[in-house]
Amino acid sequence: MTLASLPALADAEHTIGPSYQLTIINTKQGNESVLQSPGITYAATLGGAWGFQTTFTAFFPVSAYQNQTHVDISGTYGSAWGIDVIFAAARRLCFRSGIQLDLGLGPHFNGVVMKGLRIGHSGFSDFNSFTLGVGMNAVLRWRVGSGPVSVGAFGSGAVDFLDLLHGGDLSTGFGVTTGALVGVEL
Amino acid sequence: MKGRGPLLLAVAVLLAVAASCLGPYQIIGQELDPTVSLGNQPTWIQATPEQTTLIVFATPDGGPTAPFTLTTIARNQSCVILTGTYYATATQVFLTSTLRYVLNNEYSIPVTSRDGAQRSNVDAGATYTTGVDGGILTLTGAAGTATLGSFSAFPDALANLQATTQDQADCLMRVFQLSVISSETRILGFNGPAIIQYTNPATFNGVLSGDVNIGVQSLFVPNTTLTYQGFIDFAGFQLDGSQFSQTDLSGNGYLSSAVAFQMTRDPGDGGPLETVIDGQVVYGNADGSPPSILLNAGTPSGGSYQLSVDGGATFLVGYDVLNTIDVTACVSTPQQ
Repeated sequence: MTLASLPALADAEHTIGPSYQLTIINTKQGNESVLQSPGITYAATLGGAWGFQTTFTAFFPVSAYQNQTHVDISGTYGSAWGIDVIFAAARRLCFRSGIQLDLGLGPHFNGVVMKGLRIGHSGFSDFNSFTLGVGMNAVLRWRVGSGPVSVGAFGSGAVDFLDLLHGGDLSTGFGVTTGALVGVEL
Repeated sequence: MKGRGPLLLAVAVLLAVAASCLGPYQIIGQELDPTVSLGNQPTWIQATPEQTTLIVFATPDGGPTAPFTLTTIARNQSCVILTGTYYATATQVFLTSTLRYVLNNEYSIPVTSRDGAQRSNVDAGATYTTGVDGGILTLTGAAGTATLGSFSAFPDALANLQATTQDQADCLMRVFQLSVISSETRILGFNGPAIIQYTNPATFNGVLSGDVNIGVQSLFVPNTTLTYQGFIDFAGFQLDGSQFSQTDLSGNGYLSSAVAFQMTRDPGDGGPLETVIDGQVVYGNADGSPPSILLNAGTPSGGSYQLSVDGGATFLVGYDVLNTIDVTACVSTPQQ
């Protein structure tokens, strides 16, 4: 009996939960920006043993390091938010009845918008990015009892190599998201 | 067909975003304007056909060091400003630069591909042997530093500024532009797509006094207003007023509004400042009608500046006069 031969939880699973997002941007000018953010993630898996998977995270940076120097987000930016999305081709693996691991690989998008505060007559510059690359997802779900509700955890990682807002200045970008999930099977 | 509208709009917006570029990444936590106005301080100028160099040496305020700015404006309008502190002995001056501003002439490339004005931290030292003879300051490089050459006091160099002929008006317009370029170089992202951050307006201090405020109407209507209030970067040359650019997303449009200028100097006898010359530069009419300065891809490409001198004549100064920043015709300075 192979791992995949056990029945999947369902054809479509929709889950949502709190998450932690780490975004790292290295520029060709030699700067490194690191953002740490709480977020909320929606993760869905569609299809059978092979299918489609997505994770969509809205996050809100609370801590930043620029070239290893800490920057206070709340004292620097009037608003700070971002999105992180992976659309992936997915493979379901069922270890035992009620427990499922979905692995996905596909394109990754990460966008950050931080509007600089205007303090007194001046203030701080904006920061934004919109990077594209490749990401991987791993979503582990466990069905609660025999009902449609499942709980789980996920982790994703991504490497970005293109920024639509900053042309050729992106050297490499990295994204890591992890969190807990609760959802329903449809 | 009914449902295609929003889809096409979404695709158009996505393409617009994808086609846009904001230049290099901003620095997280980067202060827009670290400039602290120095008050009335000595300014020195050296003008050659290839570049104009201006130095402000603030008077030490009780300590051994004091701020300086070293502004170099090339013939093609590219500008580099170094700021930091200096200390001086009887024969030498030691400059330590901490900030470097750069605004390159990027008029030949599309707005979305420009870097715009940039600022970076530097840690660079330079040592010069100094001498003042007949009102001329000479800075000779020492310890491997390139020589800067000889400089005149800014008010003295501009003491004969006038505009009674077209050539004089053209040169006066270039002198006026020295302060404008200097101000724009310190506005992060200026002349590049990163200027959209000023949908939330910001104000930047003059090196000596006053300020310039920049505001952009909205993300999709990038009309930009620069407003000068008592703005002085170089001793005695003050700007007041506004410049309004009305453009589409590609930078096509026109300039309007007006900025007044006034050059004053200390008579040296303890009396009030005397006005060397004052007047205003009109960029254009509110509806963009001639002779307003026309913009093509963010670059002046037609029309004329209307330069008027108080108590004097009004001149039309062609847009292309500012393509060449050479003030040697009306500024009396050493040529090296």
